[in-house]
Amino acid sequence: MSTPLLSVKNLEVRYLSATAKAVKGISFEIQPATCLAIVGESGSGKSTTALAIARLLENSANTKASEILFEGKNILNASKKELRKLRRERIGIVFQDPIASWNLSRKVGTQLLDAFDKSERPERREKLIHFMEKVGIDKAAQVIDMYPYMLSGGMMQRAMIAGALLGNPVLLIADEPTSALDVTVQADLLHLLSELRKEQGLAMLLVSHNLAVVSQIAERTVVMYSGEIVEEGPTSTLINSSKHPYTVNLIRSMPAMDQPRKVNLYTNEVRNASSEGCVYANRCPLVIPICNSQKPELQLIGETNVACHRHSEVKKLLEVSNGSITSDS
Amino acid sequence: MNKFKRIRKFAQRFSWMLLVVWASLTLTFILSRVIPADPARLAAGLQAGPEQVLEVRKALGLDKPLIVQYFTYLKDILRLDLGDSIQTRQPVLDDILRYLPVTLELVFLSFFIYAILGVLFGVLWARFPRNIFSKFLSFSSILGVAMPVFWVGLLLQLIFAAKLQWLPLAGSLQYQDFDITRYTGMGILDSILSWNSEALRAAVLAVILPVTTLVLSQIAIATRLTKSTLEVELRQHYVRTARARGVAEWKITIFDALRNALNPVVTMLGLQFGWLFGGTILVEVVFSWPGLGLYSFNAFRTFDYNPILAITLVVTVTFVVVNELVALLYPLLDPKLRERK
Amino acid sequence: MIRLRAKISSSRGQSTNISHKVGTWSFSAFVILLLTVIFFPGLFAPYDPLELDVINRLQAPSKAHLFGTDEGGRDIFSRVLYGTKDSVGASMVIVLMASGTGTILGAIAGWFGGRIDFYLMRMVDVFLSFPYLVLAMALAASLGRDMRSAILALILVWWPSYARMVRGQVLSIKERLFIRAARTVGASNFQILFWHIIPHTYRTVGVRASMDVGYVLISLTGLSFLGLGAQNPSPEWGLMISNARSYVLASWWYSVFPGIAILLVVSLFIYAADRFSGAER
Repeated sequence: MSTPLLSVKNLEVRYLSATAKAVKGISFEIQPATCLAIVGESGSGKSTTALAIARLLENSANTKASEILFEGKNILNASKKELRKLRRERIGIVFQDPIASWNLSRKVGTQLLDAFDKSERPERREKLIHFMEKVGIDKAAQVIDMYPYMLSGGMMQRAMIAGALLGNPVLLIADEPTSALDVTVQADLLHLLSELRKEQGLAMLLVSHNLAVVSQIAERTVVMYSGEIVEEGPTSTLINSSKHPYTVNLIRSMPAMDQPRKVNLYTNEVRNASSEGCVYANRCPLVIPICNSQKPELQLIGETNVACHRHSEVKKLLEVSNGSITSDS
Repeated sequence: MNKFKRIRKFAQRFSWMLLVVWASLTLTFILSRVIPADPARLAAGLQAGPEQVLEVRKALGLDKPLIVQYFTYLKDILRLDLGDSIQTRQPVLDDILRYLPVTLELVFLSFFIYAILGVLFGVLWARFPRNIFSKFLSFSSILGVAMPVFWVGLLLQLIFAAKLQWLPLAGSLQYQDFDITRYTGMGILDSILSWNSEALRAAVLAVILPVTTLVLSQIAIATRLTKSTLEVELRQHYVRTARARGVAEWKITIFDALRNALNPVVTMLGLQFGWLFGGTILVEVVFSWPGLGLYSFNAFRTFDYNPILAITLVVTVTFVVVNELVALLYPLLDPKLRERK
Repeated sequence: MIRLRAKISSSRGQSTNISHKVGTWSFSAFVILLLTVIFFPGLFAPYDPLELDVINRLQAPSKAHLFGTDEGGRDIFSRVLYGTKDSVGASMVIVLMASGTGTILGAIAGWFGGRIDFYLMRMVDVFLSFPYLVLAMALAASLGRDMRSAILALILVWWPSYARMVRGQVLSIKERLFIRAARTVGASNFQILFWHIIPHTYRTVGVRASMDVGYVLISLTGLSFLGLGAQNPSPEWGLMISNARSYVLASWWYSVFPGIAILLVVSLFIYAADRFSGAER
């Protein structure tokens, strides 16, 4: 394997206002020009992970890690100036809520070009127009002088993506880039993102709660639950032969149009969690005593890494229970 | 369509201004003619005999029914006839025109100083909340609001004039001492126009204590408001986005956050500009500053009601006009409003 | 390390709670002390505030006279204590009256809406578009130069902001479920207004009122300073400072101590309001 573009080791984050850690010592890697997705429900720590990598959490949270290597350098030791340069030129970031992410009282172009020196701006401006056209904005030369509130949510997000590409980054961090948009726009944007990625040779960290979104773009997927990685591996393997009960649950809860909706009996029953055991023990349908007393380590099983004591039985067990539970609604 | 809307909006604002001015006229009328038991007695002064009172009553038209008095009063004001002052024995309008610039010198100077410093301190406080300077601000801003302005003036006199003797105790620039022309009535401006450095020095020294007093009394409000609105803005997502783009922190604070926080701050500054006139009355009394404040103090004391009336009117109209002008500023600060107009 | 941090932060959470409680208690204690001084100044004051003692005029602070004496030889410490009633007591009365009037009128405007609302609120707007201090001065001057007119003037100037605030709150409470429930049960307009709606505004009005005791005190002493409020020989603080002006060069204590009294009371009321509104958030 080649050297990874980004390698995160033992990342821990705790918000100052909370008692529990939001991210509990996770590690993963992104290879150049590939897409890694982080999937999980809200509160699983996936967005926090993305923000922590870009070091955008500084004041509100306490971030620790053995290292976050980006292009061979530890981001954690970067000075403020280096960080700014990094964000300007190497890492592009797209956020979830386009309306909140724009300053509504400044022009689109002004905001996107703010990070660059005055001397650079005319050239960057041309480039920005080029990228805006590329992401599907008509009349980009006019849009650049408009205020964000004049644009639709989809347009705002497109402009945001164009801005993220402006510095020629090698890594694009996309934090739920499509969740706040209409379904039709979502599909368009996803397609666009994966096209752009291939064309520009970008690596991408995609954060999403939606496995369907992920399966279209990402080569590898990380499933997070309650601040920990429970399963990690190539996306297709992970989806087709999941070895962790939580992943199975996630896949099941995806609405599919051609199938009757399966009733999911597992997710609502929340038991008391013990701090020593598996993070998912409090909701897992397959829980056995060891799950509450010993934390399962991530281990490589076939192509995927799984943290589950019963990974070998998951498929069989769930299928059996599936037969009895599935019902037509 | 758009133009029509704009005209209508303007007409609305303008008629509101007229309404407020009319209300202040009526209020001052009520204050001077309806509430006092015998305005003529008050106007004639305490030493006046019954005949003099009668004379005054006739002269001022106080023997006529109130409604007639009201309309004569409105008519006089429309003709800019504000009557005579009893203490100065001059037309009130002349007095006001004479004293207003002297007061404006204080008001303008202190306004600019505390507006700039207040916003600056507010920005620093919001940006570096854990700094020692910010701790000092959070403590002193409560003290700043809690100190009565006349007492601050006295303290400054005590320290800088009486004990240290660095600055004059009271009074403004004495024109006759320096042989300069009274172009505007503002000491600093006049000495510059007369090109007299000695006079300028004296004018500046005279202005320091009263202006400092006014600044101290108002700056805490501006600082606290700037800090609290900016604090909210700095927590917004767009600030994070700008950071993610690699924009420098000071640029984000000024061009993104402060710009969005400026609207309530500007409104407050406009309101404070009006309050300054209230504050100057007290400050001018403390420093014997011969402006409108001292003039109205004397009018209040002797119940010289024509000046009281005129001053209330002038101050109210200034206040309303300034606040309307501030309202005109909003669309410049917020493009969204510009659109809606 | 991490565990330690967890401990610190959780204890911090508790300590803010505790310090908030301590704050509330000490503020209550302070108000009770103020009220005691207002009603029974004689318990604390060593001298009669009005008795002249010309031989001891303008004495610097000493053991016999903690804050020194004034131009009539009166003990400034005793005068400051007796002045609490005229200064702070009067401010409390003003705020009580203004907030009461404002609350009732604002609640009526918000509850009934329509024409009553329109005219009341236009009146409030007009009042609020005057600079308050100048308006208070003009009112006080025309009502006659004494304490009673100063108090009346300040009530007149202060009630509109309460009316506006309470009206806004009533508008938002009005549509809530329990009000509809009260209506369905057949409660009359006034019953609902006084038993259900106005109690819901107590908290915000209370915070505001605590702050306003401070601001009103500053304005009231200002009026007295100009001779538009308390008259000699009242020991009202603003008036004392006004008298002290003539002796500022030689007798610093005369103007300084009454000012410190104002500063102390005002900052405590404003600080308390700050804390209460912060706790609400």
